[in-house]
Amino acid sequence: MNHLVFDTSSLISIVTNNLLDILEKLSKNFKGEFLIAKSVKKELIDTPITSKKFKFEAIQVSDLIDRGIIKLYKNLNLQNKTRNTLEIINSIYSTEESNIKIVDEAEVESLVLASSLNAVYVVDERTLRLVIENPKNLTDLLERKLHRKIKINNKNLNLLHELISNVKIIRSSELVTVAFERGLFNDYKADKKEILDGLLWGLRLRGCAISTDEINDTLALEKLK
Amino acid sequence: MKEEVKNDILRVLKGSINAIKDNDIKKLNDLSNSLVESSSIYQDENIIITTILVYSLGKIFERGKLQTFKEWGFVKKTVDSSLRKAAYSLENNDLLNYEKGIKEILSVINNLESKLKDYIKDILFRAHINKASRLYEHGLSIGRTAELLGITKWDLMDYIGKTGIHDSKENLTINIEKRLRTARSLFK
Repeated sequence: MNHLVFDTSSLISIVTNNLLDILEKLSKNFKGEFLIAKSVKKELIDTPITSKKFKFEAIQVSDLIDRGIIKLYKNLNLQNKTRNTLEIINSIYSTEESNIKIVDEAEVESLVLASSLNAVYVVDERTLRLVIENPKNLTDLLERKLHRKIKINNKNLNLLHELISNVKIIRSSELVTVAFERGLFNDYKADKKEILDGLLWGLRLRGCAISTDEINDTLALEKLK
Repeated sequence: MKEEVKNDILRVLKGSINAIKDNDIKKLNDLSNSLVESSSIYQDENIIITTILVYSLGKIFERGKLQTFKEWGFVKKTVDSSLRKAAYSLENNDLLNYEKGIKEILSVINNLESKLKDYIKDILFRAHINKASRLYEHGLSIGRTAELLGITKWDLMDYIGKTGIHDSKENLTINIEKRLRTARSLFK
């Protein structure tokens, strides 16, 4: 059975674009479950619901959990594995002066959950995706921005890749593109290309790490450009 | 506190005192930016607070409107004396009084009664988000950055989405066709 594990960042992009209803529609053609880890619920609901700024968005996500569209995963105790993986990732990159702690516990908990369930990981955040898919790119970015030689702890990098080698990543932008392909936006009378362009840019402008070139490539692949 | 961190903060505090005296807003901004690399590497609370504070001071001194408030003179005097106190204490390895000096500035703002307080608090909040986006730009994750700056991922994502950070060449990993194939395969 396939599962989708959502990181906080991907659900923030989706809800701030008022696109949560596509999850409900997509779930009807999905054999697995849409899951979040405990720390993601805290960031998505428990904290913003006490504030004014993102309270309604938190209520909307909470409603999706109440209706069972997204499930809070409680069955596995991920704490030890999460801490161990966090320590590994945060000691992969270093300068002469210090290790660079690049990720936080909530991000890693979702990754560990995805790995444990052999699930696809939906993450809009850039850094963790780079570590998993192309750690050299993150080295290049760190060296370019920090103006220093970055050392890689290859032992820890290999260890990480052994731990999470089964994890495949998509972003909210791919999920929304699939929703588009499946006709979930057909009620809109506007030009199809404009609809997809608007959807992808909406996600990008609210934090999804998709580049302008990737948006254009997606439009080209959909034969809309 | 590491020696490199101490020296970096000291350089910026001393530079800021001179910049304020000369009303050199650009210099305050440059000084704050010069701490972003160290903030990303050391992730030391003191260096991050200094980065945010100096950036905020640049924004505060830039706004002529704020200088029309009757409490402005008091704020400016406190900023100057507290920066001097912080720099002097840090130079003499007196971390307690260094932190006191920095906190004095924030405490004076909190105790203001006029609209000036709201304006400055807004500047401080925006400074947190701005500096967080710079740390993200330098390679830290959204979560790690939000954690360090004490802001939410909601606020940070809203801000970074409007920057060009995600157009950097290093952002590209797997080609879009392959990633879309993975997404499509889930909903057959």
